[in-house]
Amino acid sequence: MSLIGKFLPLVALGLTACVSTAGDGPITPGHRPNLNSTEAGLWLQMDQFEKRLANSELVERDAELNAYLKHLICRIGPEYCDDIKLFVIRYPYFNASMAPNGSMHVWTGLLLRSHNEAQLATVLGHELAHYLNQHSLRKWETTKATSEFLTFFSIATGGFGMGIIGLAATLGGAGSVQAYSRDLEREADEFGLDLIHTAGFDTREAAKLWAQVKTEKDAVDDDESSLFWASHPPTEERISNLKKLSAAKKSMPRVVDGKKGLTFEKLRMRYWHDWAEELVSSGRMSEALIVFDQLKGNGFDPHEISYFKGEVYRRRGNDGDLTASLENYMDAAKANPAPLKTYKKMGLVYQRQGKKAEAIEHYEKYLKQYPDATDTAIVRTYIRQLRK
Amino acid sequence: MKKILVLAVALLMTGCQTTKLLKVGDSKMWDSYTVATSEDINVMKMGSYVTWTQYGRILVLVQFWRPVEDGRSLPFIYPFGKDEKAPKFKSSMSPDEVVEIYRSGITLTGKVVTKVSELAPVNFGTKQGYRFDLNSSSPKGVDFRSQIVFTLEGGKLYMVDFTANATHYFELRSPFFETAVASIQF
Repeated sequence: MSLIGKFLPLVALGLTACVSTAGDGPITPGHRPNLNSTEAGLWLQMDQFEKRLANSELVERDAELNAYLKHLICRIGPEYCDDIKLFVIRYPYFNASMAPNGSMHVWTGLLLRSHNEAQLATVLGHELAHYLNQHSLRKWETTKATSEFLTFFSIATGGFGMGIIGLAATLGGAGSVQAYSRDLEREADEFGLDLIHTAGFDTREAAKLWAQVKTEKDAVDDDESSLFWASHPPTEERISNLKKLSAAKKSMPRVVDGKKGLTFEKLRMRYWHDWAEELVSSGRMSEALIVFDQLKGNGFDPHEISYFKGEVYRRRGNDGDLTASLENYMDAAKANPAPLKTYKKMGLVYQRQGKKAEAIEHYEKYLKQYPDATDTAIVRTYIRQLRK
Repeated sequence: MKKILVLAVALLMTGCQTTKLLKVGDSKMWDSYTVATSEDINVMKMGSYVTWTQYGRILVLVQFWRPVEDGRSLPFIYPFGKDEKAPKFKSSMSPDEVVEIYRSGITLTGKVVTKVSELAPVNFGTKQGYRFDLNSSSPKGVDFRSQIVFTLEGGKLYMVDFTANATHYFELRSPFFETAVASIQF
């Protein structure tokens, strides 16, 4: 264990005794903390986490995607461009977070759900607003937390804490963190909207994004999501407030950079199948169905959307779901060629239903469509077993 | 407080299981099949797993799962309250669907699956088996590589899970795992 690692817990415990450094108003570009401050301790912990992330497969490293997002961030906050360290995290949920050391985590679930560049910019601007106003530092100081900062940060931002609900209980001030977070969320909404307006994005998309998210949130009611929604409430109040703020900027229209908008579309099209698969595999089926319907409304290929809805129904497997999955796969198969693995998945449904002839027929269709597919060996095995 | 809780749980778990040294040779697994270890190895039996490890469970392990019956979820260690959400194994499932519930199950434990290979038909001892590779990461950025082999027999799922810290321990212990799987006999 390194010396830093050895003394990290002591640093964390000693943080509350350090001087407060969260100032009023935005920080200056190139900001660095006073080494005797609470903030310096939090930076140290986040820097350690970044070292782990540096080589982790958790991070999406596509150079073009990262360059595009960094460009977008720099467009929204040009003075702070060099201060922000971007990590695209392969997590199928809607979120982004901003640490006090300028480490921004953008989740792939956010990229899937953003219908245009302005919506994506809305969240990036919101996160930049958190950073510029040192919100996580202010949250920490307010709750006087003594836990590891990463845990605190996860809970406060609805970040990876989604998977560590139990830890929320160990952080005595979790409730107050979230209550305080809601105030800071409002502040970040307003500040972030100013940023994206100045950068030339259509601010009306902010309210639309949160309306989309609210629809998704309303579809589920479980503990797993509650930490995130508690600090990021997609409420009518929030949507209404964003509409009012946006309307006030109407007299100052800006022109969006259309070329970069095309890059957004191109990159999203490159990855959305993978992100959709990750969403389905997360098991959050009600949310997935809503996201897919929203993507269809956003102009995505309806046959490919039907394929993924077929996936949701097939894997959920409730009463009537296998029938619903077949209906969706059949709709997908109306495209020529049928998208992705439509025929193979139809074969799986028929096999589950005990309809051997239909299963074989669709497996063979799949092999005919993709004779060089990487899974032909297993499909041939299925056919052989069904013929026995 | 968190550290005290973690320590208490760790002590509790230590009390629940014993580590033994398993000598080279065959051993009976879940009254279902035999499997041979080609070297002396540490073995632990806890809940639904028999675990073999040479360097410690955190770094590398081979787990022989208790056969999963129809209607039961895969025996991952789920966070509190998530057991009910775990997808259930159905005896009518195809091997592809087993991969899907494995992926969903491991996701529920908090890991992020970053890569899954295609499913390949292989021998599971003397039975028709299936194999897939899976990469995952913990929320704190620690990467793991897994190779899973399984068979569907008599309405039950028999699974052996080889997971290691990527990449060193995975490659180091792959030959041992493959030899063990090849030795399985029902």
